[in-house]
Amino acid sequence: MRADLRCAAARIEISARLDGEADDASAGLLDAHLAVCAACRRHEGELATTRRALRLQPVGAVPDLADSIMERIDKERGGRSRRTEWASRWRIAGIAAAVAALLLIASLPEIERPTGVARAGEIAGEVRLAARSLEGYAARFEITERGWHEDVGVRHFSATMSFDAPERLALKVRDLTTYPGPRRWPQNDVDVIANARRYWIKEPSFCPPSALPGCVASPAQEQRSIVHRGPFDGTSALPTDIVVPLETLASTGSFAVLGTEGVAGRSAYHIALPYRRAVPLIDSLRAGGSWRSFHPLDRVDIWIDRGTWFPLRYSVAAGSSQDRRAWARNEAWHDDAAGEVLYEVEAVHFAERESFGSGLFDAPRRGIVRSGGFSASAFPASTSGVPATTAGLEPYRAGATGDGRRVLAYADGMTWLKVVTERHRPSRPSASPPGTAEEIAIESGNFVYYQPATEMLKRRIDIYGRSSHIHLESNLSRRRLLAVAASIGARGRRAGRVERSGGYSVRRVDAGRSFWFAARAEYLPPSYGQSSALLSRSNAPGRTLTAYYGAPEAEYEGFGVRITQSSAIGTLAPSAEDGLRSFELDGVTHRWSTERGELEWIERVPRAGGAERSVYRAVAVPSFDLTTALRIAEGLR
Amino acid sequence: MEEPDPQTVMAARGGDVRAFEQLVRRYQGDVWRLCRHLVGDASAADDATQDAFVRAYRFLPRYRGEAKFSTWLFSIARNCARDELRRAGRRQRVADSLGRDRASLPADETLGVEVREALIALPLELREPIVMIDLFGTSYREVSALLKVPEGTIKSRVHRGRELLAISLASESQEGSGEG
Repeated sequence: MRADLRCAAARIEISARLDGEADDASAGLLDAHLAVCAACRRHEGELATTRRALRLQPVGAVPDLADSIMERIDKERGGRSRRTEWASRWRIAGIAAAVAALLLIASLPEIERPTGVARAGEIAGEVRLAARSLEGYAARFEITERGWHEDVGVRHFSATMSFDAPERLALKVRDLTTYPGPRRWPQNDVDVIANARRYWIKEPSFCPPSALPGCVASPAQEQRSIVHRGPFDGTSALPTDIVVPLETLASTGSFAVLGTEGVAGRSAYHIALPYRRAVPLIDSLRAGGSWRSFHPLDRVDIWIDRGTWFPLRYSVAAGSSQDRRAWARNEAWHDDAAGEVLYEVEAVHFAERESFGSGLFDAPRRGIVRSGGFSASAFPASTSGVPATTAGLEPYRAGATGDGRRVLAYADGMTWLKVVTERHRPSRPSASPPGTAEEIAIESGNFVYYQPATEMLKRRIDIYGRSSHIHLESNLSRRRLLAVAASIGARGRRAGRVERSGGYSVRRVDAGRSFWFAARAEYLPPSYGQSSALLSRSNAPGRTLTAYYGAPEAEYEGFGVRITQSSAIGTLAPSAEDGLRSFELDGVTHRWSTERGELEWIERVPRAGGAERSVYRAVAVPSFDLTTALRIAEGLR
Repeated sequence: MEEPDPQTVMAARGGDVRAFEQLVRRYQGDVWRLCRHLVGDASAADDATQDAFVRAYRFLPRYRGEAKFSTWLFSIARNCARDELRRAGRRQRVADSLGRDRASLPADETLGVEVREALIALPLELREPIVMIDLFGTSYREVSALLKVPEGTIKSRVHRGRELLAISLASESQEGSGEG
């Protein structure tokens, strides 16, 4: 240390001393300098204030990325997923092991509590528990909607909802809007009543908003009934996320917890996620009638009650991306301003209920009547095709559909499971899995096909046996549903060729299989994994590999991510599509289609002997944006 | 920062995925916060965090315990954050060339907005040591090993960073109170 410690050097030491990292030898010199230098004393105060400001910042919420990290590690280890490994372990040791594994997975997600990590996982767990224990519920909501039609700035509604788990529901939405010239606008009143056997909806007859005002359908309201309704029928799915947002929160697990706030005198968690992940909640009061639509990346804020896990308030606000603006032009929502709240729902009253007035859930048989063809019967005594473990759900309803399929339904609170068995002659399979379904080997030579939840249907597993096709559907988590499927004891065949006609063929290939023209996806959105890979070829030379990637639990906007790579396509075909934009990246022309949400380009790929071949690559992300497509594309290089 | 149980690290080094998952769950919050402050954007921090753990898994057999586990992991995370900054810059340029294209879901708040904005405005060389020292309580010596620059340089960068932060925070609070 120099004898004459000048200000510049002194100030560095002052900063270090605040951290207890000062040079001991210079301590005396530093004190001496500070004694005579007022500027450095002032500087010391400023540095200390700044340091304190940094250190006293709240820790804040951080996302839980463990699952998506471990998915990537699995890939790193050679494509053998942990979940597949576990599934196979259960099967090898039989059903007792499956039960044990259920207990094991229940304890896995929180092996060690990380410090300061968001409570997203915890909230999801609580919501799952609430969905099991809730028996009945009644609530009243106020709804505000903006931008439905350019002549109608704001619409107001009130809604009442009664729910008696698992299948009785009454929803009444009343339109309180003062329309300009009331006779020319349809009143957006909606009624839905459902019970185990019947479903009824009354809603305004369809008028496209572009035909308004003036489109007055006759009759003004239409009614539809489903009688002999099968349990948890997907065509009349109940909007129960408004009660407890089981699908929205428990199925995604990826949402930001922004903190705890007071709403209507109650303590609530404030949660934010994109609309594409919150569809079941946002659309729950929009089960019928005419409403505006939202962009997949519009922002959803939810305030959820900390005691009951009922949503107290939620809103949708317009996003701001270029793609969003292009979408708004297409959909005629051009007046949306970035950040503007487009839709808002507030619970003005809610309570858990054990009993309801008689007749509340009596669904009328009116209007267009359709039969679900279901006839009830007792649960079978035999164990064939019956799951040995049902994740704690109790037998609820059993019966058969009109076309002879056996249906077994189980439930606990709002949580349910349905097992549908169709018998057919050996070696005459009646169905094959959809191309986007994920193939999972639950033991060597035993395959099941899994699909995440969609807007209408919950998570599904199909088992294609020698003489039966077993279909499971449930709002249980993927892991639990896999355990249930494994406990059925059916042996599922592996699906072969998907399609073949006129020299064109499509077949499933192993996710891990490599092709010279196909690059591996190094980057995928968090929690996304490969669902399936399809290889297609025609009479022309070259092959095309189409790989689908999805979120494990739910995918509300069709498929999640699709990557197409082809040695059969050498140029980007001209297109007359609107919203097509081209740009150069690394000297390669890329094309982005706003409409399809797809990024395409042609790449030169080196082949043996120094030759080069053209390969087409495309990344389709219909419910994300260009930024995500670019990230995935970068990961393909 | 707390160090993991050496047996967990040993097991993870030996290829035990469950042990590695424990490390992921234990450290993902810290790694994410570090990345968040270095890259300034929550979703880019998600990417950098995932990359960091994948690389850590890859490099773990080479970890000999010469540095603390957390320091070793942070040095990987810091490199991933730098890569992510480069990639994010590139993507932004593409998106800008087609018109602005920002993520619709705003980032969450992990720091007071003023402090965070002031911090992200610092040059990366100054931001790195400040984040590690002030937000994670890392020692100068560890930061020096992690960034591979002499301790004396860390000392002067921390000072320079705090000096710039003090100036920008002071000017913001003046604007806020209407005095300047």
